[in-house]
Amino acid sequence: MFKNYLKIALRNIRRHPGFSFINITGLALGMACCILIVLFVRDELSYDSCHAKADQIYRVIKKTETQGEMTTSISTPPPLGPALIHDFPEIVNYVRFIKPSREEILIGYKEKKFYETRFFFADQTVFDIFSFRLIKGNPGTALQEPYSILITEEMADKYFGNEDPLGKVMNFNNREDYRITGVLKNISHNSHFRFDFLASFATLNHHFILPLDDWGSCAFSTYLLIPGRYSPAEIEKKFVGFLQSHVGEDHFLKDLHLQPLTSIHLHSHFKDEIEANGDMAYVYIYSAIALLILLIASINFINLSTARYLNRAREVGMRKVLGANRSQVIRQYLGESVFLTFIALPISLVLVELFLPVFNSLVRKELTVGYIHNFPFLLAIVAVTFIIGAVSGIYPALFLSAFQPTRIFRGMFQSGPSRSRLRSILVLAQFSISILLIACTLIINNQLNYVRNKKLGFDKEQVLVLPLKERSILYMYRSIRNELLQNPNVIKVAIASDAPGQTGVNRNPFLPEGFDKADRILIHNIRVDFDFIETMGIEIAEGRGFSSEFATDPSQAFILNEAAVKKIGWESPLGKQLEWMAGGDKYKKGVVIGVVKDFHFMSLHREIEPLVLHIWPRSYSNILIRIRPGDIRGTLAYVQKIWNRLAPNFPFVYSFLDEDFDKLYRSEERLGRIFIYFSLLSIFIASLGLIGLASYSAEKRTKEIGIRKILGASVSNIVLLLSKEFTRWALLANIIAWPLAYAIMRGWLQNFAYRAGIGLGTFLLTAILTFLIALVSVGFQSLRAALADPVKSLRYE
Amino acid sequence: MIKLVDITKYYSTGFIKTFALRNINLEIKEGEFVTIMGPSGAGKSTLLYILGMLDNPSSGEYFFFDRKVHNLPEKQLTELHKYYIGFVFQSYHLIDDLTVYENLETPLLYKKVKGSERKGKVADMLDRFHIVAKKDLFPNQLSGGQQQKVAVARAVITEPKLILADEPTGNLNTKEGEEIMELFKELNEQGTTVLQVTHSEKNASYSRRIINLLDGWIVDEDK
Repeated sequence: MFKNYLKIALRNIRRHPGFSFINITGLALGMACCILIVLFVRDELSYDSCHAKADQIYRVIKKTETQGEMTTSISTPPPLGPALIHDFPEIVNYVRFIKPSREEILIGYKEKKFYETRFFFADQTVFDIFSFRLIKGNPGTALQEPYSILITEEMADKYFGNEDPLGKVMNFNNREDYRITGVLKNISHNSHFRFDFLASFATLNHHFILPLDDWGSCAFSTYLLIPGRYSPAEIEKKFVGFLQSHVGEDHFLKDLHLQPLTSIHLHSHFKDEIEANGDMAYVYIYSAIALLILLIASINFINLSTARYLNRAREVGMRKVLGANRSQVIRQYLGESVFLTFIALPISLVLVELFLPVFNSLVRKELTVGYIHNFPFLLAIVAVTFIIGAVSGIYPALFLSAFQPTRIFRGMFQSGPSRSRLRSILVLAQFSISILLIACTLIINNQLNYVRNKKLGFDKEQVLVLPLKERSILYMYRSIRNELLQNPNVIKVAIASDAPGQTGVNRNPFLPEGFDKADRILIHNIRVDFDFIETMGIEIAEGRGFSSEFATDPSQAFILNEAAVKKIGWESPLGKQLEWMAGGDKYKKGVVIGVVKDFHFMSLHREIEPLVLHIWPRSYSNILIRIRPGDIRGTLAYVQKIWNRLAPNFPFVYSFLDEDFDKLYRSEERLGRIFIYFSLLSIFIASLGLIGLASYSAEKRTKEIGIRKILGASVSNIVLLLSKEFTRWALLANIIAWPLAYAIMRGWLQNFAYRAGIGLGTFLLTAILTFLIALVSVGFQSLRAALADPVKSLRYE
Repeated sequence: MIKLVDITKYYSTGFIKTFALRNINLEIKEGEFVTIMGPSGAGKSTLLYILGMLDNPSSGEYFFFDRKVHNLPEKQLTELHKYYIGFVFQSYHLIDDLTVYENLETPLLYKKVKGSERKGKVADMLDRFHIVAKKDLFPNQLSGGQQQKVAVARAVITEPKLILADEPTGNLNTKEGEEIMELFKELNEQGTTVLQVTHSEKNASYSRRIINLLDGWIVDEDK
């Protein structure tokens, strides 16, 4: 019996290549999409779960209060860990990590020198809590001594090649030497933070001036091990009291929370995250896209199978006459659809392999399928394939099996209005999904264009940014600048603490004239030089910029932006006094000499915030070079030549300001691109279905068309007749999809403080696109039907 | 074997009832060769389908081997006609995607006949109907007469007690038609009850009993 069904299924595929092609291609594409997205989602959900004790590890986050503002951050003071295990018997162990600087560290072994960022210090308990593996070295002792360091395999390869790194000495920042005591297995990419170098905590006592018992220096991330039998929520309740007993009530440390390790990647977006985390919202969005595309492919399947019932009904009838009962017929057709999906499966796997590199670059991951190592995944794919086949097949099977043989043989079956209504509804759903995706794509790209082209209040084009990784280069700045300006293509050179578009511009307390000391305001400040404002092309609204002609400018002058003036509430800011109180010797008292127009020194996700510019050479860390358009490559080579001559110990690193800005919208851009690809795909699959449906609808109506032609209908009359139905669906689908797209995208746009808005134009464009697609898909089939010889079609009726 | 009591069949479309059969009383004994005749729309096919349990009467009673079948659930009806009844249609109704061999095999599959026995029966049929050479061809590669031969073979393969034929020669030329009728005659002589619907007097002459239908009524019976 099974063989009989199999033969029928195979012969049917061969006999109706168009139908089979549409179904199999659609399913294969849909399944390939799904697999890709599942790979992505699975990866996102797998973060940090590889540790044996993953469900017992918690990260401590702290709540602090400064100037009345509450901030939640992941950086905690160093004595926190020891104090916690002392006071809480439930907490078994702790480990502290610290990244010594935000900047890159120059690491060298013999003549090999590279800038590295993934450098951490950690307690030796790291191996008791996390399951990082040492390939070489003893986890018990590797991090005991000061100036011991572990490196990853990758680094061992990079610096040592075939040599055994154990016991070798590496140099850091041309200063300290560390001895390698172990080689770590590479940290898997699905870890919320990764390191290439892990140095012993004991080093900190020798090397840094950080007092390890200071509750005020928050720079450490603290992880705790709490066995499953204790409730973290119960522990959290005692934290306020715990803090008060250690630091007192007036301390800025107010509260602590525990974050399960495995939820960090998708749910944690606090200050000082070690690496940018993923976002659960994107996991949902991507999953939704995958399901929608699969839905479109399944709808194709359902529609084409039911549309083809004419061809199969006679067979069903005959089988029933020959003694088949309904469940046997259902089983046969269900089996056929499952069979078809299983033909699509290997094709979809090939597609996955083919598109994985593209997809990886799209989502910036290194996903692999790994079939062999991943038997459960493979099993899941097979199971899901089966379900897809069964779900898409169940309606056609029920539908076909319900036929009464007598009605079939006596020609009494027709596509009742209810049948074609269901098909219309399904096509409508397909169309609506496609339109939704197109509209979202357009809106996302609209916003991205808006963000890229918005006037930022300064000129971001043709500005080269050279980050200064090392203080000692500062002494070379004068000569670097003078040499650079020799080149006619270099227009201006400035230096500042931050370039616009960089994240993490400092916020410090300021005391404006007329304010009480307790009411100091936290304001962003960029520390600049005389040339900054002019180099960046920032406009001055009032007063003047910094100038070397005024001897007091470096020590006693501030420039505010309009937002700062507004926040402070000054009517006429010029000449008003202001104090900068960043702590310690970072203090300055001066007057406001100018106001600049608001410019976007941060991404357009946020409103322009208050900003103070002032001169403070000690914080300079970015050289900004405005160059002439044209021979950019030549200018860049010139800049590099000078850098290499004047700062030979440091690799030449640069970026362009406009590109830095674009990077701020990376996740949105990625989303936009994913939407483009997947909406194209969904349209492709949906129009395949439409072509199939149109051809069957034309086939079914051959008699009607023949009669109409004999009665004198022209070809264009008939094309119009056949296309009318589909156009109506397309229109209706637009009406359904527009408000949906509007609602979803309005939510997404909330991420931006500055929005392009959703115009009617976008929707009209979507409508035009869908009509074109529908027309092209349907038009060809209709034309063919209209051109057919009426005598032929009537004779064979 | 068959006893119909007051069988009526109508179709309702909206508010209008269209009667296909009216108060049919009929008895058919095992081994008979019966022809149902009548003009188009007289209810011949409807009667045939009701006899074949493919359709239910609107009212009246139907006894098949003294068993009430007019209100049996579909599942049991399927069982009954699977074992007792073979069908032959005017337009053959072979399954297009199956070869001659596979078409013959299908009813056996539904009867869950074992593989070796199935093979033997199919081979017998191919032999008996002289279509061995055609066994691997698809229906659309055969002439009408050959297709109808296969259809008859398929109806007979389960050794039914009753064969119902709906205009079996309607699509065939004279020679092919004669061949098919000879087959029915042969089957009847071997003891199978045959009931055919036809327009053709010539075909009717093969049978020993003719029932004339008009507008759903039995008008007269020749014996």
